Amino acid sequence: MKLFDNFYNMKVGIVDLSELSSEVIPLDDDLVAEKIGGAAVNTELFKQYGDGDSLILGVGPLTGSFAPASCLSVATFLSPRFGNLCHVPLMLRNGPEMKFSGIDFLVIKGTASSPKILHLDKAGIQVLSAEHLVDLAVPEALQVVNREISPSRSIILTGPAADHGVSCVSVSTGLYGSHDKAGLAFLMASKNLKGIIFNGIDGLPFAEDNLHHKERIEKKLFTDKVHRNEGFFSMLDMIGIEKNLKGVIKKAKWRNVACYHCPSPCISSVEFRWHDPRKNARADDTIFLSDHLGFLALARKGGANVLPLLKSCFLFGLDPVAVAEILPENGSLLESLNAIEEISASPQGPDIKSEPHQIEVVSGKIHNLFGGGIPTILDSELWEKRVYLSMVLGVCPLFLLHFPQISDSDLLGFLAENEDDLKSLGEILNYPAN
Amino acid sequence: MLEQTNEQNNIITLEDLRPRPKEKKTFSDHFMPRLHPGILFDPEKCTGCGTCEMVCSLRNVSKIAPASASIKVLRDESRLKNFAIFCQHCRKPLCVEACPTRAIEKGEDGIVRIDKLFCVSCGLCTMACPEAAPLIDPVTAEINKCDLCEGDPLCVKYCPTGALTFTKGKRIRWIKGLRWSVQAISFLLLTVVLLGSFCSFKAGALSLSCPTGVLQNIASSGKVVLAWVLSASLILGLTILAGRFFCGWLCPFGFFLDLVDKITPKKIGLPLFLKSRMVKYGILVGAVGGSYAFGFQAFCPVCPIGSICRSYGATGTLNGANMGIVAVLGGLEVTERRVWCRYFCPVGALLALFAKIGLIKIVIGANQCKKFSCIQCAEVCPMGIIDADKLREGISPDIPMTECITCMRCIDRCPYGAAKIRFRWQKAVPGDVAL
Repeated sequence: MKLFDNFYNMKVGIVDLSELSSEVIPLDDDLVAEKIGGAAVNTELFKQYGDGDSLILGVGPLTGSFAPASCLSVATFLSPRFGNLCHVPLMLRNGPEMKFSGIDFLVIKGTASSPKILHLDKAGIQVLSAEHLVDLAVPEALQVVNREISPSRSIILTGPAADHGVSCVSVSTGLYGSHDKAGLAFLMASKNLKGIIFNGIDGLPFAEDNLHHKERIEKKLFTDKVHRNEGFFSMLDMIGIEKNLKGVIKKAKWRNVACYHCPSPCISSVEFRWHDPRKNARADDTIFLSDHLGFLALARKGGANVLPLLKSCFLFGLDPVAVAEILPENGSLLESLNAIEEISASPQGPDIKSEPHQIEVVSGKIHNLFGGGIPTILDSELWEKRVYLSMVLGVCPLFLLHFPQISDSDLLGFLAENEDDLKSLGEILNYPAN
Repeated sequence: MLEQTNEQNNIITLEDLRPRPKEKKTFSDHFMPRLHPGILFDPEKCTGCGTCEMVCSLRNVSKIAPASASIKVLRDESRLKNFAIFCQHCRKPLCVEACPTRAIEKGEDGIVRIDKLFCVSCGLCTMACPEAAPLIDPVTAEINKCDLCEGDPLCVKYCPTGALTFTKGKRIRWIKGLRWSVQAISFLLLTVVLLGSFCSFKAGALSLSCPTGVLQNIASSGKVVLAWVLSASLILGLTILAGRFFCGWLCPFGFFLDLVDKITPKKIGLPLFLKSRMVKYGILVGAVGGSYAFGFQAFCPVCPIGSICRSYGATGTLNGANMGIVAVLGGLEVTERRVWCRYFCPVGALLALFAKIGLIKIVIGANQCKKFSCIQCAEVCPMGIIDADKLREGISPDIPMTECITCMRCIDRCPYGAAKIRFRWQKAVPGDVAL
């Protein structure tokens, strides 16, 4: 099996925020052989190092590799919102950059006495002060990080709402939100952890047959050499967005964006013009749409005003799904924007122990287990298996849901050298038995 | 002196070790220039997935390490565009000049290569490059620079959206030769051979007249004579079919200005208050109004096209006034190219009105353009209507056909086939994805 040769650095980073210390230890071979990676290894590490409020970040064996959409890293923690151990998918470039920085899994224990930010690169893990980032809107904080700490290649950041102790918050993987609906940002804020910077300048060994395997899979998926879709909007179609809501945003100028090595983008960058009622002026704005459920929830509540409302949520680091539940019915844009500002400034948000904010989810338990942010595209059983597979292997769950014709053995083919390997990997990954 | 001293002291110089290859330009290079291969980047199609960086790093460091690639995707979530930085294999690479050890060379095949044996990783090439394309490897500190994978770039092969395309370059230089020939023949015909001039001449049943002259005639006489209108309609019809083709290919004064331009390559610029392309329309209105007021063709006596036509040939009257006008306006060429045509020519102004409803247009597809390292189209455009800044931003510039003289120099010069002539109703830019 090629599992150890080409896919892992075989290193675990341990950070103790209470002690402000960090160390990098070898990853147990047996653990990887038994659990493969991603959410499965994260769970074991949580048990080993878990003090109840530990946060584990991990990648799968395929993260950063030639597997299509190999962008995934998984955050595992005890969800303050759902009450169970859950796995939040973090996309864009976080997973590969973490791997390229030389660490496969990161265990974050304890609580810091003042706001801190972690910096991962080839030299190791640094715990840095983040007091100057507190209360800054996400884009401003990102600018400060790039200017004063490190020009980050990838980042996870909490917004000012999390600094104020608001419960309905979501981390930002970059400027504009994420699929975190399970309280990762709230947990990070409670640990005084403002963010994590990944500077992956190193690399992974390369297996040439993986490149050919990638070509075979993509040939199966795309008949054209160049694959085109409607990005974020194609995903909305699959979830089932109302035509009038889609029409509102499709009038804007947009462009597709993909996560690391994804041939089929499901994110879109949108340029839109709106009337800002607070300044009584027209404004030209850009937004990066990656949170499908967040968009859908706010679109159903805010109608044509969805884009300014969504952007406002992202600036404060709020979860748009939760915000949509709080916003006034039939409120004007001004009222809604003021309400979002109010929510972000005071810890009087919704009760985080309340029922999860769901939009047509497959089942509460499974939905909560995988962070609550992955939309339903396939039927329940298949959804469950696909998301599980992606969370363990480190491939984007949305990509796998989007292309049900990708078989398990297509993905495991990257890891297996022969039929026996494939069989044993299949047995290990037999969900839900294992 | 220094060479002598070095020779005497037996000092080996860099020139001995790495002699700079002499630029050999053969006669055929003027007509069939060498190809400039390269990669074209279309920001509209780039999703920022980074597959190009992945596969490029395989070639550089034999592992998946995007930071060690020779191509870098700049992702900006706050803007609607991604941008890729990679070597453009410039015509005259600044990195070659900047390299103190002459580790960088442009090969006969047009590919700029770096010889890692001689490279000392000083980073001067990165500073000299307008694209900052030679990238410093964060791990090894070596310089990584695209060598087009020796003609089959991996980044192009694996780009899932077709944002990167490879071109071997394009050879079109016959337009230049053809245009100079047509201009020269037209000059001879209109000034020397044909009886009469551009202003008005008859060849059997065929009657041709300058449309601006006809307009002035109508204004001064107060009569609309069908024969006059018909005689002017040939040039106007040509303008509807092919834009201001007359200005670019047939006008004898335009040819004269192009010749003057050859001997005054450096331009000092025109005062700002004169740089309005609307002035020529004002002159046209003034010419027609003046003709109406004075009862004769008010502009024709000072028209440089007429002056040059009337001065030679069988009926030519070589007089000082006409020659003076031609000389003065020719002298203005030290300010800008085709300055008369750009700002002042009322004949061009009238043709511009017809070109506006013409059937053709010139398009420059930013998706096929190499931007920073090239911009040759903007350099050669005699009317200065190609917005180089837009091309640098990856946006296809609008070419106003009212100002374009259809000289096709941009098409002729573009080594990547980005400049094209299109019918008005065709898609603005070939290959563009509608947003």
